[in-house]
Amino acid sequence: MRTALVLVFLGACLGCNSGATRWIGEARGAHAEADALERSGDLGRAADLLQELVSRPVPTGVAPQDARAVLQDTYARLANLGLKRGKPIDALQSADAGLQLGEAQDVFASSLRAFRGRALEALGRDAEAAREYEAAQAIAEALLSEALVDGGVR
Amino acid sequence: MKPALTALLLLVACASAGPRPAAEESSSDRANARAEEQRAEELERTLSALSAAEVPPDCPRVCGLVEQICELSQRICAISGRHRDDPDLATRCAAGEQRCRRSRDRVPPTCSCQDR
Repeated sequence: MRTALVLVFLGACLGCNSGATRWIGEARGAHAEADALERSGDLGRAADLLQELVSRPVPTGVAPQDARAVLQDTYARLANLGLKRGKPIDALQSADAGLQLGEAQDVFASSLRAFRGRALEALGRDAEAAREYEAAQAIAEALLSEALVDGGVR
Repeated sequence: MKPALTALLLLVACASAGPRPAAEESSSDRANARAEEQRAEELERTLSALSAAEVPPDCPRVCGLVEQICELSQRICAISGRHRDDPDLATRCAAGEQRCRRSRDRVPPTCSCQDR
């Protein structure tokens, strides 16, 4: 749901920039297809599809913050798929790849930190996992403050 | 909303600026001062009304964030529970629980989150 909203919003913002619009459209299509594959239980193909999406070059017309939002959202989903498939190393790699794109006080960073924590916990690295959960919690708390101040969505 | 509040605050500040020394005051100055005082009072009333009518909170978002904060706290404490001899994890667990409580306390009465 969040992914769909992000992609629809970005698609509307990008307007007539054809390369960027096409990339957003392809991302939206890949997420929709991954949804269907997940529902049918084919987690492996869903992950392959999303992995292929993040491997593609981002067109030059896409603003860096928009590219980061789409890619980090996709990496978070890949991390979740890795956990669901019992592949915590894959999940950790996806979370790390997402975080390497940069961090802001937003839902993407919080989500990636939380998935990183879950992957570390699954790998038995409990102390590191607790630190990641704490980092995710701090971001979520900052987002809560924002939501209470202006009711804004970020 | 914010620019409007800022502008009003500035106007209130300007309108309620202190009077000049008595020696310089004339009757027209006093009339101006009274008019400015009235204007300041009006602006303060408007400001109060604007503050009272702030943007309503986005309850689903607020509740989702509180739920996320508390779920993370549970995860930290579950880890701490598995390592009872680790004071650092115990501290993190306590801090996490505090964050969860604090977040729940901040939920506005207009939002009815589950598990409050």
